[in-house]
Amino acid sequence: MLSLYSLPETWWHRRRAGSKLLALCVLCVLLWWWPVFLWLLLPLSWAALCSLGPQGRNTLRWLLRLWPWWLAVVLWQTWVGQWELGLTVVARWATLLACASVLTLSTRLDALMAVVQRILPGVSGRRFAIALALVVRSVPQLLDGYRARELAWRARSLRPARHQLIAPWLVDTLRDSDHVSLALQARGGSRGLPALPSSTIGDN
Amino acid sequence: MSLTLENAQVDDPQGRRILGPLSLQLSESRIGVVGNNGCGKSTLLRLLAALQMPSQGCVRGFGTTTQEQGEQWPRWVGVVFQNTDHQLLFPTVIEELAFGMKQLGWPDAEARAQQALAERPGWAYRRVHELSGGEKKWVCLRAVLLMQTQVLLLDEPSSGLDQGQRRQLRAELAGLEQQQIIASHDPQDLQHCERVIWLEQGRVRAEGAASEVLEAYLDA
Ligand SMILES: Nc1ncnc2c1ncn2[C@@H]1O[C@H](COP(=O)(O)OP(=O)(O)OP(=O)(O)O)[C@@H](O)[C@H]1O
Ligand SMILES: [Mg+2]
Repeated sequence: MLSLYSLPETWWHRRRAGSKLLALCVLCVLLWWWPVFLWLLLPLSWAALCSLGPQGRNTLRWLLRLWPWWLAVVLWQTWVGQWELGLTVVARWATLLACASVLTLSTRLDALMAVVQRILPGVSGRRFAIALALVVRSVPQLLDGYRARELAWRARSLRPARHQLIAPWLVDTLRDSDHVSLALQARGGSRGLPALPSSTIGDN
Repeated sequence: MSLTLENAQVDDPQGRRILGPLSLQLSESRIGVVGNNGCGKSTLLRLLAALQMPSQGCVRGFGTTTQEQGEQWPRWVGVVFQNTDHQLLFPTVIEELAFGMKQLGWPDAEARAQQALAERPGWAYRRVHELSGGEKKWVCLRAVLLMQTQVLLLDEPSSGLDQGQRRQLRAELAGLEQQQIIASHDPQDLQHCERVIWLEQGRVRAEGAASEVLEAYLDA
């Protein structure tokens, strides 16, 4: 399983999953207790993201595209008289998201799952990995589905669609989940195939 | 050990008959299922793949039935869906190819998947949802072939492919040892079948040698 993994391989890819995860945890704590580090770590984390190649830069662009949300947070905090806090919150989010992206882009999902399983022995890493991979697969597909509907609407309408596409798109999404479950079933389900009872004749 | 339908029938949730009752023994190594849109080809394949249970009757094979041990069916029966987007589960090609083998518990699943990609360098980490229709078809077929099932069910395998790709696909399928059951409304896909079953409104309208049945189907 690799999902969000990006190529080409970089220095980050060669670090161990466990150490990267640990570093991320330490960073979380650090930024929580000593926010002054933010102004050093924010540019560093972005630089690290960029060093991952095209997909890293894409992720950064995606982060920057969230600017209305960042702005809203700062404005709100300014409104309640705490603009410094607003800036800190935004910078903390931006730093942690960038660091988390470095982790997911440079670490294979199975390596990450192995670490998670070591920490939480009760969790089925395999099912979790399948679920995560399905999410990664579905997001672009759902967005594409919405865009395709928008195009189909525009092709036969003079006014842009507002809320009208949401209901059919949701129905489509539910139907898609039906197909996913059938496809999963066709290849043995989310738990993998059960052991074969000895009485059965056919085998491969 | 051949798949057998015994009075199998499928009703939709409103109780309307979609397929059957059908009694068929599917023992030939190449079987075609032909028929117009909505005649029940995909439904028949879903029954044979244990993805759907018959409302009545049963589907027998491998010493058991789909009702008893349907969850084991992916060991024996692989199915290539009509719509590739309904089959593809994973974000990257390599994950999609390795998945079925991992499900079977093969430790070298990923190595085998990599090997299968030797003829398509650079494909392992391609995003599945960015592939063209024909490329998706290739991934779907490859993912199922890698599981080395005894039976291969193919639902409209050549739809969406250009002429060259169709020829390539037919040549590839002809070289496989597994039993194949192919549903299609394109007679060209079924020319080489030993037996062709013509479905109409969920029932067998005719069956027999490919040349005769396909000719009758085209004349109808
Ligand atoms: N989930 C469902 N609920 C109700 N009716 C269904 C369902 N799936 C299929 N049908 C109906 O069953 C009939 C057979 O459908 P099926 O998909 O098997 O046909 P097909 O021969 O594969 O057609 P095509 O050549 O278009 O793929 C159709 O009339 C269809 O409307
Ligand atoms: Mg069909």
